[in-house]
Amino acid sequence: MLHLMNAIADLRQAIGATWFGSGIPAPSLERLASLGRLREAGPGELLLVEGAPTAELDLILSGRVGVTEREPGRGEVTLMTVEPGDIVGWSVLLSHLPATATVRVMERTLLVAFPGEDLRAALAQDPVLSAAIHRQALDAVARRLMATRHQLLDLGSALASGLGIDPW
Amino acid sequence: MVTTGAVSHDGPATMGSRWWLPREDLGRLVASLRADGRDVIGPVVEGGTIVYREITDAAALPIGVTDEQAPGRYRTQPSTGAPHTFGFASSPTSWKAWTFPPRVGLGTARRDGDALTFEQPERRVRPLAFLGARACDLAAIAVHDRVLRDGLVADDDYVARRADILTIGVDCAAPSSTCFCSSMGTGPEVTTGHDIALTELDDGFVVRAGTDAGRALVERLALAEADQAAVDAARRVPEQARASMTRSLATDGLPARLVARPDHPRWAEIAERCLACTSCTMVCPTCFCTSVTQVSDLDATHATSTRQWDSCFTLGFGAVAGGNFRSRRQDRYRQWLTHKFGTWVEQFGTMGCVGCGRCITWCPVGIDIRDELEVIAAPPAVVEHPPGTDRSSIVAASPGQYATATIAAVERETPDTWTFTLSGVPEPITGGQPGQFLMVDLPGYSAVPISISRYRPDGIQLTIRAAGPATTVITQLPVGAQLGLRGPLGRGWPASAADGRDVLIVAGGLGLPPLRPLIEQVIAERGRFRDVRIVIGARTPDDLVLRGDTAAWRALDDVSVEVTVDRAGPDWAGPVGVVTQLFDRAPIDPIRTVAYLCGPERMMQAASRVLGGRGLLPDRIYVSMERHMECGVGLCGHCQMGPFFVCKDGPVFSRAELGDAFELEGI
Repeated sequence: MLHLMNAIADLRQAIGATWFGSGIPAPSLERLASLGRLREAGPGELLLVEGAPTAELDLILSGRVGVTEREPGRGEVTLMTVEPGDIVGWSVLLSHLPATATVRVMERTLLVAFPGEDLRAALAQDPVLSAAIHRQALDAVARRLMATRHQLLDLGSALASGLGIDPW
Repeated sequence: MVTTGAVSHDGPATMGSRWWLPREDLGRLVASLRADGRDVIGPVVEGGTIVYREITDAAALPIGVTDEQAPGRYRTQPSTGAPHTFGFASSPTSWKAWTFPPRVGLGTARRDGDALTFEQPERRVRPLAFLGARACDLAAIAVHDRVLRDGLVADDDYVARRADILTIGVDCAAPSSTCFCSSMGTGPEVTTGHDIALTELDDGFVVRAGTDAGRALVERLALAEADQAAVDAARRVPEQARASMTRSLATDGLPARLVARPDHPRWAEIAERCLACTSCTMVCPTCFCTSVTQVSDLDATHATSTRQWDSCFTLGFGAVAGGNFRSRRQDRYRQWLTHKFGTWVEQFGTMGCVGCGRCITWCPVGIDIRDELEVIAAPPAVVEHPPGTDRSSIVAASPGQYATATIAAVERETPDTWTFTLSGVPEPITGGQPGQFLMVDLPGYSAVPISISRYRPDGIQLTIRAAGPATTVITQLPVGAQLGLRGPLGRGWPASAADGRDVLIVAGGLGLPPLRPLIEQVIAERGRFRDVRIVIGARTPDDLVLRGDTAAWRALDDVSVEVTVDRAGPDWAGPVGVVTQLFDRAPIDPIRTVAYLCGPERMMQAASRVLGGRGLLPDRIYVSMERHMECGVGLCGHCQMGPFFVCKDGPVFSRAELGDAFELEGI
């Protein structure tokens, strides 16, 4: 598959078929594809390390990666997984912001990597691409924020159920 | 003449009477029409389709041929029952080819020096007879009369062609899956616009007259009066046809709803599929848009004008000098659909659609306007739900009464949840519906509402979490102990709502056990449904229940199963996160999907919002609500939720039924 998709046209098609890419207008998609590099990542590989500079934005085409945090006494805890079509490394859009979490590959993953510097330079030159990328990235971040809220609420509910308020 | 369906008839033909035309006499009818100086237009098989052409003999009619139609699909095939002459639904041609032909000369223009001369052609048309017009097509002709004859200026050619047409209607007996005339109020029974109307039976036709011309034709044919059995059989034909039209269109208030949604995102989505090929407008019996072309000599001294069918789907249809008012395909599709079902009413006092379904059948990509209207101009939610158990099928209906059953097996699901297999369960309970529940009682404790998590002929299963005093004691009972049962109670999951559609089942935590009977029904009757997708979420891997069943469902080729957990340990390699992340960006066809949700209310709210955002209508999303229940039959008042008693009106509701109450705090 790597071999087959090396051409930019193939890459553009692969990106366009994802949720992330479907929100990017065609001419901008072409430009984005020209920045991307297709690669495979194996289980255990770290794509991002919390607190370290973010080098690239990764679009997951297949496989699964986990967003993890290290917690005293529990080790590395997977907070959520990122499924095909979604991105990790959105903080690359803000050059001053280091990675907000560690991202570890959970199963063999095919991804498109967009180098941070190249991507930021392209966004500075192409307002249409910039608007589309930031909109999609904000959507991805908002989705994670909402999921986190639901998890927090559920955590609270789990604690409350231990207080003996169930009538049965 | 002795034949089935006829009785002797001596008197003159009267308008309210019914006569009998034996099948072998259909040729006499054609001959009589021709003898009257008319060209007879009727159905014939040509190029694999049934089309309308001039016929000279009844032998040309398509006896024993029927059609099969679906969105983007048309086939003719031999009929399986007794051979009928009009045993098909609709044709790609319509009668407008004769009343409003594709090309008509408008006139000539001549320039002689500075002088101009315009001449209109003389309208000479032969009298016609339409043999076999369906009710929907007669309604279409009536629509054209309003548009082309009765407006500010009449179309001369149309008026001339309509002046002398004798119409022989036929009650439709074989509507296709694309037909919806009953929704449009135009069929399937011929009630207007006919001179005579036929109802086809196996041996012949029951005939009724609609005009004096029709009665005169009956008299010329000297038809006998139809016997009562034939009249009764004829009455059933359109009734059965109407009953066979399972797809409907909610037309009440449709024009206002439709024109109010010019910005609906569906217009752009349709444009991705629509080829703008104009096929729908060409086959439509009411589309009347035309353009005029002029052909002139090279020196422009003589020109001929021709009016020809055009279509609002063509790029140039809305073009003006310097621009185009409808340059986007979505604009052109919107123009067509809003005209048909919306603005046409203001212009002509009727909708421009008669429900013949031609535009659906002959759309090369199968766009079904009923689906599109359902999304763009969704009618107000209709609260429809299968009834719950009636009193007679509830074991120990009154609170305080209980039947007993014995615990035959216990299986631990999680540290605090067990599944109990009960034997000796009364038959009305084992025959309950997926999603129904029982009141389970143990002396000394409050009765507990528990969903039935599995039905078997010889027993049931209950999956119970130790959450309070009663459930803690119940979950510690050994094999052989007895439980008191009342039920089955409430309304369950309406599996039939997903017939022919995609099924999405979303379970959160202990929401899976109430869904398991539905999942087992869907798998057992897999052919009734399209894609089946089961999405399961739990707090942690340790909180997953019914793991054996989940593994078995995963092993099926035609069912998709995904499991996620909110919090994972190092041994969990699957998805982590809330359950909605497994389908919020997955391909979901909002028109063809029915969703069943069960789990914590917050999960169902979040899932419902995601699905609503993907275009699912509220009446295609079912949720199972949990409220404090004590009696289970609507007597104690505990479980009220807005206007509903969750115990007897639910626990399963469509999202449309619940309305705002579903999202409100404290309801």
